Amino acid sequence: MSESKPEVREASKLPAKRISAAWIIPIVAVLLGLWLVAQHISGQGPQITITFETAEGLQAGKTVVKCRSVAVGKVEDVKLSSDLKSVIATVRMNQSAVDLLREDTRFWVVRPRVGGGSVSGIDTIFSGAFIQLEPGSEERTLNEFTGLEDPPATPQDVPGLRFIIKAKSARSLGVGSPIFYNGYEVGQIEKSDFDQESLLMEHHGFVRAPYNELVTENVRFWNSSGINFDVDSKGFSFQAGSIESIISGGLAFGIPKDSSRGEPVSDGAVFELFDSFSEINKLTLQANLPYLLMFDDSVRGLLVDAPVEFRGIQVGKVVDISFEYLQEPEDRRVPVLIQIDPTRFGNFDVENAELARHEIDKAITQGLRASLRTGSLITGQLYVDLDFEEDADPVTSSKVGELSVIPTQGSSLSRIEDRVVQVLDKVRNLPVEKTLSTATDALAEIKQTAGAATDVANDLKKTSAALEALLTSPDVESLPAEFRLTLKEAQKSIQGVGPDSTLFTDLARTLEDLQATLQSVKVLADTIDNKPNSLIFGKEGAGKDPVPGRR
Amino acid sequence: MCRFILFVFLFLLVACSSSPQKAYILTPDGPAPRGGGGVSIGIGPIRLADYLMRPEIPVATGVNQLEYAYDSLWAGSLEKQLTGTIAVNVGRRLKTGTLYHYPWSQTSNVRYQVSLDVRTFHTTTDGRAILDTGWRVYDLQMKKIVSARSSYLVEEFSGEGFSPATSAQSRLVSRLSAEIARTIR
Repeated sequence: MSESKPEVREASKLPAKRISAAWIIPIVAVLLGLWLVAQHISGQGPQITITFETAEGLQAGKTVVKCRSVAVGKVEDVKLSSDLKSVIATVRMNQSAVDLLREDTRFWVVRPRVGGGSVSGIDTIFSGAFIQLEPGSEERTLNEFTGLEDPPATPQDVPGLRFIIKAKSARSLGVGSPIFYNGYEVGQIEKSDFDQESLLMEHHGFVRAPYNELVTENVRFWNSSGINFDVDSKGFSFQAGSIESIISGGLAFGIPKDSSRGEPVSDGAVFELFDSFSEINKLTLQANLPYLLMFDDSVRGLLVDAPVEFRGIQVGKVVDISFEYLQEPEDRRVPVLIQIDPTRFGNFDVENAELARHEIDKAITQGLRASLRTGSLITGQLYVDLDFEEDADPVTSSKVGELSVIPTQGSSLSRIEDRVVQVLDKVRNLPVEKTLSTATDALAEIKQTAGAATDVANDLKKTSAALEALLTSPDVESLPAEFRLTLKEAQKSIQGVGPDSTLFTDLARTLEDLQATLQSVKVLADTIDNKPNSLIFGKEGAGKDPVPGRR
Repeated sequence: MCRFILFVFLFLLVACSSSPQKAYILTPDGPAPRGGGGVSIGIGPIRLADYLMRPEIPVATGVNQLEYAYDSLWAGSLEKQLTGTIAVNVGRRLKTGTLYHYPWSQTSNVRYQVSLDVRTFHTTTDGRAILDTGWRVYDLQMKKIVSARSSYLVEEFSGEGFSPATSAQSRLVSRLSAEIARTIR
């Protein structure tokens, strides 16, 4: 047996297996994906949140953010805030828009709006609402913003002046109401708020450059909305602004007469709103001396702010009309509180008010009296007139409570009324009936006399016939012809005053006219007696006449 | 705002809309006979009740209540209107144009004189016109009273307003004139 060795084959070393080329594809795909992600991330801008009151018109993934009509971001998510009182829109901004996100950047939703005399955002009915971005200028950047509910009236970057106008009521003013200077629109109201502390409306006004220089410290603003119909002691006045301001309301400003322009104001200046153009020219009192006037007559027609005049120059105004100033309950007079500005007299300073008071007290002892005068017969508005009365009763200045009193005298109207009544009384007391009966008696007597005269004339006629017979008698024919003529003329004269004479007819006609006139005077006197003011205001009941006939 | 403007305009319109005054006359049945020659008649004096002595037309709004129409007046004096209307009406019935209104001159040679006291002459809001008069006819030539009587006449009318009312009043005057003419004939 032979020993055989198993054949051993030496292991050969195979080259290591290479990675399949097929792997390239997924790797490239991954790289490409990673690149795309990186590209996406690097292309994305910051995420910001904007808080709005309502999400009306906002859609996640659809609504875009625009700045000057260029899309700079998109709403990614819209959700309610934790307190459920607002909505938070999460917006992904573009990388290029990073610089726009400043502290004072403003956002608002552009959606169709109708109101305040304007229509905006009509194009968004079809395109859908978008968020408008107005870039800010502050250094600091932010990621959380609070959106405006209403679009701002003026972009922040428009140069101009922003100020506040305080008004008692909103009337027809609101956001967007125009501001006029001499009828030309130079700005508008951007915002209107009601201040609960001062109970005043605060209108935030904006006047664009270069007209902002017109707004100086002495300008006054007035409401030029609608139609202004004023009735005061000077009569009626009627003002209307432009058609635009009549419809949508508006403000106007200007310098009151007798006033300088003053220094220009800076942003944030506060102005008061006057009701009308005439208001701004009303007297502003520099110093106030309060005086009380106690009127015995009715003060109907006298209004607060009515002028107090001294010989036609306004020296003060009526401040209050109230029975509250009466100290004694049985006092029936009407107290009127006035303020007198002694500087209007020319020779007093604001500081010398006490001296002025002393002078006025002295003037009262010299006969200074206050009376009510009619400023306008049409409106019946009254004003207070101060003047020296020559035959005034001597009085010294008195006081009611703390207030000095200027003595008064009856109003001019009541004085006229008294005089008219006096005249009418005189007319009424005229012995008209007596006169008439006397006249009738006289007429009767005349008639009698005339009758007698006719008898006489008849007798004369007979006598003259006899005379004629006598005269024709040859014995008397020699008498002068003048004698006969004279007799005939005498007869004619007697007939001239008889009942059939023109004199008698004229007299009867005149009496008839007198009777008709007296009748008219009686009707007038009755009317005035019933209602003395019917002379000015017409008869009462006119237009409410009774109508005869079956209804 | 539009409502405000409308209000202002309405206010101005209302302010302008006070009604104008209207005046009314009494009318006779027709014109007086043209020719003279008939019996000569003088009408007057007519004495009016106190409440009629004013230009405003009175209207009875209740049994004892009168109101005056401030926008509706008698055209001229009611006394003269009555005188003229009665004269023409009586003249037509007696076919005479010789008519005189009081006072006339003595040479007028009036045959019959008619004097009247008008106690009631107004319309009511329920469509009646009332005329209450006392009247006398004198024969001036014979120097005697022909007749002294009172007439209470009522005329109903339909419709509303012063035009139907004053024509009803004219009819009343016509009826009164007929009564007067009958006593003279």
